[in-house]
Amino acid sequence: MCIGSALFILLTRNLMYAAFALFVALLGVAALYVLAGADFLAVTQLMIYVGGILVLLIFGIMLTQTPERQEATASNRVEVLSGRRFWGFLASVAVFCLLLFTLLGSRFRLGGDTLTSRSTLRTLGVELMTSHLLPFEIAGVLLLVALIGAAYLALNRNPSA
Amino acid sequence: MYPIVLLSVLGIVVLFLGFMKSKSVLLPATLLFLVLALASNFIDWNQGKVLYFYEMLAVNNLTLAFNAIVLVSAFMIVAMTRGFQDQEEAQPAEYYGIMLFSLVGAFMIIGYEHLIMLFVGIEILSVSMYILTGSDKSNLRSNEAALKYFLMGAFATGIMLFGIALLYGATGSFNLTDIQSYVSIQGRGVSYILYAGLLLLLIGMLFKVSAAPFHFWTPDVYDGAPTIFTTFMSTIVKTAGFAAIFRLLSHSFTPIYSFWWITLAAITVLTLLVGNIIAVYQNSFKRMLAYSSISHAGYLLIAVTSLSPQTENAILFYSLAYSIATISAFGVLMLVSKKKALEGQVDESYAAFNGLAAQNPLLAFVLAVSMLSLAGIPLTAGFWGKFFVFGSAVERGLVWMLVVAVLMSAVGIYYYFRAIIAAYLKEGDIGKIRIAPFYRIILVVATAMTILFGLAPGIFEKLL
Amino acid sequence: MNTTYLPSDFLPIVVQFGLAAGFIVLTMIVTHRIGPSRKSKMKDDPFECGIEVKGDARTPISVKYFLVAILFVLFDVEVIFMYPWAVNFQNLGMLGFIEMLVFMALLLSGFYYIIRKGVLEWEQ
Repeated sequence: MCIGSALFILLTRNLMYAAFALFVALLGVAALYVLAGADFLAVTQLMIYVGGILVLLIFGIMLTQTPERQEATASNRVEVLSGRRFWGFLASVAVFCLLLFTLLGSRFRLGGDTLTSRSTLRTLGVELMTSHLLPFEIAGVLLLVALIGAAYLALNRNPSA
Repeated sequence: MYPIVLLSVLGIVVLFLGFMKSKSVLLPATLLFLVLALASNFIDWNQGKVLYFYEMLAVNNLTLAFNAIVLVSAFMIVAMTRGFQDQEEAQPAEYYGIMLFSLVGAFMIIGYEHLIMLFVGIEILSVSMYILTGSDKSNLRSNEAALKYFLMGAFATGIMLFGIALLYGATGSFNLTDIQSYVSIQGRGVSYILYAGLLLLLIGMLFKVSAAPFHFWTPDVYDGAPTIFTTFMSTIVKTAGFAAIFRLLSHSFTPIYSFWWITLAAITVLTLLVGNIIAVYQNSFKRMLAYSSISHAGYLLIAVTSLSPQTENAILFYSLAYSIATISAFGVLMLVSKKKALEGQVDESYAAFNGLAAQNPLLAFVLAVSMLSLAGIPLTAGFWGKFFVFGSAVERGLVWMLVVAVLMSAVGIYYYFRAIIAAYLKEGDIGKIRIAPFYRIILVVATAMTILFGLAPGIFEKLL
Repeated sequence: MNTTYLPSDFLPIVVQFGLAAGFIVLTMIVTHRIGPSRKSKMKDDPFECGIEVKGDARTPISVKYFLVAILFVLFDVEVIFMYPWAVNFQNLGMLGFIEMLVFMALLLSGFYYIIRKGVLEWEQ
């Protein structure tokens, strides 16, 4: 489901459909998190990505959509020089091989016993408040910066008032 | 550690000062805060290595020295922002606030002990940079640069995060010391996940300091961003980024030096070649400085690659020399291009400097000294910076890399001298440029520091 | 509280998703099948109180919506941070409370900034 809708995003030419396909893809990722035993991450995924970022994205599409429709039929293929395409392809194949090699070389602990994992929520809360305190507070600063930046960049009226 | 806490709070204070009627209090306040942070920075001086916050942050003299360089550069840059108040729509409170916050990020990646700290720090630094790049909202080039920077930066961050995750998967820890003990116990037998993770993490970090295969954003972004923020980016982000890379490699991954040095050496040579050779073809002074900053990343990478006992000092001194020279070069550029803009043309090419020396001997002199320092001519700080870097490479026996570097600095002399020639020998019609007294002091101090360190590099070494 | 869980504990959610999606698909199919279907130019027009349709359903919207959505995402992230804290509220005690207050103070100062800047003022 995840891969299918991700492919759909790549291939479709209608932005709106792509956004909805993204919705399905994100849900699929959340399900994967659950299966991997990361319940908090799954909830976060649902709340932030599905709930927040997707809405943002759809707003963005609505914001920028122009009345003329020719765009929708235009090809969304990126024009590149064939030489560059070759090198890009080579690089991506190299990275893919590297990762595949890594993946195959690693020994994952598979088996039924690891599936019964503890709920991560409680540990996460304790960790966040004790040993990872500084990153946590600094993340607040990061959010603050993002907040100011968003307000500053998106505000288009003259702030002298 | 104190500057992090202090600047986080003071950044908010600056932000709220912006609501006051009079904007004139902002600049002195920000400068005062930077001095405060600098003072608090030295509370930990000579305490040896101290870990803070459950081993999140390490503080030793080296990180403090890097912090100090960053703070001094920031002080100079902020002091040069006098022009903001003149513009109607500019919002200095935001700029200053974001600058202070980004310094928090810089301190974090200078002294991180935990990979999550590295990540959050880099995020703060880059998000601030995206905003500052796009801060000139009426300028299309600035918008374009911000968007490009943001998209590419987001990718780089993603790659870096992936690398961190793989490292965690391989070693079971985010902690640098734990990773180090894991690596040294396992020796060559570490799993491939570790190699892949290290590689991806390095790619992400090298992107931030614009090393060669990941440099494509640099010229456009440096060119498009308002000059003052280009200065900020090319000095502070670079210094902090190199401190972070050095910390990662020297602390955690010395046992597998034989693995990463080849990769890093290839990147170094590529960076040197790309930066210097393309810089020759530039007509815009600002773009030239962008490519020159790529090539300086190459020189710094030499020091990192060689990883000898001297490397610490070499990187520190080189970043300092580079930062000061860059700040004064951009400072002169800002004045000249502003003057030109008043006459109705935006001009950031070499030709803008034509005949600068006739009416503005001070500016021409500042420009000349900074160019000489960047080119690495003796009697300037840049020379000793290069000297130390090359020295550490010799110690490691990387002679072939040294040959490339020396050749490339010879190429560098050509394009740096173009600016000097334009200023002193060409005919031009630049009238007298009025310099604000504060601005003049900063330029003079920067030049004096460049010459001072050039005459007596020992002063600096004794401090550490 | 149940501290261990199996992925299969989330099965009800999957079942519910399946049921919801299945219901929609089923009703759509059924209504298309059993209802009579006549197509004409008049009938296919969207019904808008009998008035001719003007413009497009996807008109560009104001940037303010976008801004609000961005702010929503940021505060959403903040709430996510509070979630594990709330679960452990008893254990963490006063120290945890203060830590959270600092975090909130950072964010709320941002919120105050937003209000003072007038980002949330709708008219203007």
